[in-house]
Formats: sequence, structure tokens, C-alpha cells
Amino acid sequence: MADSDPPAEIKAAYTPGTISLDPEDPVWHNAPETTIIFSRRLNEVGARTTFLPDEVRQAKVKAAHNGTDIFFFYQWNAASENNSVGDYPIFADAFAMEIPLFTEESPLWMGAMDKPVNIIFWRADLPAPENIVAGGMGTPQTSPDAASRNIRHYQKWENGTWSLVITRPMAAASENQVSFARGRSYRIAFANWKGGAYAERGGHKIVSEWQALSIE
Amino acid sequence: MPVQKQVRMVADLNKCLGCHTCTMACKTMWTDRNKGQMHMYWNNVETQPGQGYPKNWETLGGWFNTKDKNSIPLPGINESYGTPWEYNYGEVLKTNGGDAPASVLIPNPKPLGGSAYASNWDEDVGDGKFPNSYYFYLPRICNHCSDPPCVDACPRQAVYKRKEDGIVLVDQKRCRGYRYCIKGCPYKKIYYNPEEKISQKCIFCYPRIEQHKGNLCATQCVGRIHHVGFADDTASSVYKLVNTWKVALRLHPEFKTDPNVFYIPPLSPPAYTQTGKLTENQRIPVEMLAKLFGDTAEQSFDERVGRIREIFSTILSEREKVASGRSSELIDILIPHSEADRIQV
Repeated sequence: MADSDPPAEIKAAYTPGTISLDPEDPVWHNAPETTIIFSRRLNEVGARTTFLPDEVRQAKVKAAHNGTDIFFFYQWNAASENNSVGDYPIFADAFAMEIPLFTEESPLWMGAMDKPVNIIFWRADLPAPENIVAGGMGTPQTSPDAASRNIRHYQKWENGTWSLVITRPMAAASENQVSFARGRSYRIAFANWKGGAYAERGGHKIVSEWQALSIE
Repeated sequence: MPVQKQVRMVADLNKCLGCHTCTMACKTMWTDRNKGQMHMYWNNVETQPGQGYPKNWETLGGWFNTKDKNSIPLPGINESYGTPWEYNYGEVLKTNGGDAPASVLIPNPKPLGGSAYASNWDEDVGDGKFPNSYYFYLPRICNHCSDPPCVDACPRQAVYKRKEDGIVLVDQKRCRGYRYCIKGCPYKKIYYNPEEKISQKCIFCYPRIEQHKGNLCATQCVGRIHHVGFADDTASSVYKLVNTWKVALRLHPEFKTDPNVFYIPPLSPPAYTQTGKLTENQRIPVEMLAKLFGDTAEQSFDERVGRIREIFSTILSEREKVASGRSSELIDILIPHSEADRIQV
């Protein structure tokens, strides 16, 4: 996707009632699916560049909410399941979503000091996704407050595909979280890391352009 | 970033007897048998020549001495450090009273096969042909380098060098376990904790240094081989050994990190000829020592050989002085009578 391409529209439709973490939950049956292209990469010094230059990496995204909790459903291809960081050369698959914390002007690359971003970071070996705030490259910090540990998830790798459901109360639990309000639209970007022999971690990742998330 | 003070250590390899008390002092104090830290020896003693710990660390590369940083491998626990094992102490030692159910200590898991490895695995193997076999012991901690490659390698400033004493630390809260620091360190003195999922390393016992006490590897050493002090303290024994008497060298200065741990290269008994006569040459070839030790990154191999010969000549002539009843400042420093004689922090 070139810089000039319009951002993809991700619509979080309003569905009253309980939504479960199950990827088979009926809420996903009619939810529109958006394909995100990971088009940008930073070559971190010392990182192994095993990816192919013409590699096309993408993820399928769905979103839904019930007025109190918002759900995101991600699926992407991964030839192998890398869910451990249990030895020096072993790295785990990871996925992240980034949303400007309080100004839409936040730069894509981890925000800036006065324009921070809120990140939900999932890694296959972690017990739960992390709430992160960043104000520029090298600054991401997992929110230390207990209130920000309100992100739940479901993960499964099967037949070369990762399925990941992430949910969080729509209202921010702390100043370290973005509030999702009905009728509003947000900038949202995604990042993907291949673990295993790819050894992607930190800045060594593949990133999408800013996309648009609208909350019905 | 310039530091206000830089702590330094000199280890006199002539006095290291390979007892590993430094290693065990460090191990029990900081890493013990904690899960994820079993394979960690912030201080280790290895036989040289030898493969060292982790295995073949000298060839793995580092941030400033490897052209293609991407190509620097990360050592694996089982292959490069060896699968940590435990012994059946409970069965052999009658710790619970009564008769011991087992009479022999057995490691579990058993280190078996060609890939078996551990810290100090090739102890006393050394090199050379009988009757000129040789080896010596090399205790190693983090070098707390003046130009630390681990600090440079970390993309999120989790590794830092303290201004007040030059000690290099990994901020355990900033670290995300990316392991670039491990790639960066050519001495492989940063370890990865797969339980905590972060990197950990020698902290030069900074809580003790802050109280003007020596680090534990130094204070517990039965051979009293270590001298610890600050680089700019002209009254300290480290200053006198490094700067005044110039008898201490850096380990692999060609790695370009400006390490702050120095070594006095080991003298050795004379080598024999094939017919069994003693020669003028030392048993440990000076060329072997010159591959390890030198003053600076720029120094040539021949210059290193020359420096080691010069150091040996200095030590031998000062010893001769003392043997003939005169006094020598150098020998007085090398034979410390109290902790205060060798630790000035």
C-alpha cells in the first residue's frame, strides 16, 4: 500500500448484549472484514533480516462493541507457531495495535514526547496483552498501574493461521488508555512480529500505515 | 557519556589457583539456583587455552568488532552454556537423619554426548605437548567497559553506565528481553533469563561499592588476586599496577570496548627441550598470551608480545630485588597483607 492510498475503514458495529472471547461468537458472522497490509519496516541495527524484500504480510481485522466493551478479531498467516522466549535465540510471534492517546497528530513510529500513543501489545508467550504508552522510539513503557491491566484475550494458532481476539472496556481505566466513544473515529495502526528464526522483536517488525477505526 | 569516576579491577593471574571461590561467592550472592539463572555465572573461571563460557565466546563477535552485526549469533543454553544439572545431595548426605539411601552423587540430567557442556567443562585440559603441557586460569566478570557495546546495542536505553562509578547495569524494568546487548557484548558477559524474559549481568556488587566495600569475587578470593579501585585514584593499587608499573593488560582490547578489568599475565615454569633440558622459554608461549592480552585496540600483535615480555622482565627483576634483601613497591602491592591493601573503593 503506497502512502497515498486511502486508509482502510474498520467499523466496530454496535451489538447489544454479551460478546464472548470465542472467535466463533455470532458477533463476527456479519461483521465487516478489513484487510490490513503491513507495508513499512524499520531495519533495526543488529537485527537479522531474513524476510524477503517482496514479502507481503497482511492481517484480517474485524471489530465490534456492545456499548461497554470493544472487541477486535485479528487473523494472519504464520507458517509456524512461535509461542516461547525460553532460550537465547528463541523469539515469540507478536501483534500490536496503536492509537493516538490524545492527539491525532501522533507520529506513526511510536508517537512523540508531546504526542504519545497508546499501544495494546500481544505476544504469544505472555499471559495477557500489555497496555503500553510511548512517546517516541525507544520509549514504550508498559503501564505500571493495575487499572490498565484490563485487557483480555483469546489466542490460537491452527493450520498456519493465528487467530487473536482482544477486548477491553471502552472507557479508559487510566490516563494511560484511550477511551473508545460511540460515534467517534480513531486513527489506528498495526504491527506484526514473526518470532522463530525471523527473530523479530522490538523495532525489528513490520508496520501498517494509519487506518481508520469508527465506533458505531 | 563521560563518567565522573570509573571503577577498575586488576586480577593477578600468577596467583589464581582455579578454586572458583569467586564464582561461588557471586553465584550464591546474586543468581544462586534460581530458575532462569541456573546457567548464569556472572563471575566464571575458565581454563586457558580453552573454550570458555559460553562455549567459544571469543569467536562469537560483538558490536564494535563484527562488521555485519546481523550475523552475530545468540548462544543457546543447552549448546553453549550446557544444560544445568542438579545432584542427589538429599540422598547421599544424611541431611534428614538415618542411613543415606544412595552412596554416589549423580548429576541429573546427566551431561552426556558430544554436545554436553558446562561452566569449566574443559578444566585443566589446556594445550601443548608433554612435557610442555600448559594452562592457566582466567577469572572473568563483566568488564564494565568505558565504551560499552551493550549500551550501544540496546534500542531502548535499558542498559546504562553509571556516572558515579562507571558500573554498567541493565535496568530490569526497562529491559524487554530483545537480547541485542548479548549480541553486542563480545565477552558474552550478559545473560538472558528465560523465566523473567529479560537480560541480567554482573553488577560489580554496586551495593557494596556504594558502601566502600570490595565486590564479593574480590573479597572472597583465597588467592587475593584482585585489586579494586578507581581509575583516577593515583594512590590505589589498581592505578599503580596499570599506570605506574604498567604490568596489567586488557583482555582482548581489539574488541574495541575499552574494558576496565585488567590482568597481570601469568609467568610459567621453563619449557623443556626434547631431550629433557630446561630452556630459557616459559612453558606458556608468550604468543598465546599475546592473543588474549594487550593495552589498546590499535596495538599490533608484535607490540603485544613485546609488552608481555616487558611485564615479565619487570616482575622478575623486582622479585630479584626482594630476594636479595631490597624492597620493591611492585612486589609489596602484589603481596597484599590486608583487604585494604588491594581494595580501595
